[in-house]
Amino acid sequence: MFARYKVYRHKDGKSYFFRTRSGNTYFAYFTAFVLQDKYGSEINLLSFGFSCHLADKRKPQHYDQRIKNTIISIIEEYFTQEPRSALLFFCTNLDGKAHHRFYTFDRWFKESSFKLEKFDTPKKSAEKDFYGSLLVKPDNPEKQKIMDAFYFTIDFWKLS
Amino acid sequence: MKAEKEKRGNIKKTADKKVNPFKKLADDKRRITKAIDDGHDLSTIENIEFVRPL
Repeated sequence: MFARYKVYRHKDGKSYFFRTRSGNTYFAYFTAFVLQDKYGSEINLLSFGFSCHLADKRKPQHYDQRIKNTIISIIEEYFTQEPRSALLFFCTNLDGKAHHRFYTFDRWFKESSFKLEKFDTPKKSAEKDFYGSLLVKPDNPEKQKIMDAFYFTIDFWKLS
Repeated sequence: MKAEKEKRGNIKKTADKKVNPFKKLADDKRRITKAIDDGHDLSTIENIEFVRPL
């Protein structure tokens, strides 16, 4: 078992959080998202995200593998409980670093021993600063349907 | 299976077909990130459907 931080349910009723040894607080959250398919049906799923509240913005930040392990463990727990579901992960480009976040998450994903399939947004989406992935278990019987809806919705909104 | 269906059933449809859901998600994430950065509680954010499945 990789070292990780203990995750708590936040009193806000909306999120989970953990504190790192450097005093930073990471918030993880899920929000509702709806994909559409070519038949006009809707597929409800969740988007996953996380963000950090720095204890001291002036303090230099150091790599902490436990952060990665903790975030991955939350995703693993979700798929353990909801094996037939899927998760969306999108990177914000508030600071122009969406591309960097996307590849960091990709590396985390590849390093994880948990078996998930990841489908990325098309390269053309990146030209519009739009980076994201769909995560699904390989044995999910709805995988193809969800994946088709993911790319259909992207095409529908002209992000590819 | 039943619990999963109930959870999914509880997820209201937030995507109005006239609203680009990806744009809304990007906007939502911007608001969430800013709230967290500023030290504000996520319960203060309106019009985002948070779900706690775990």
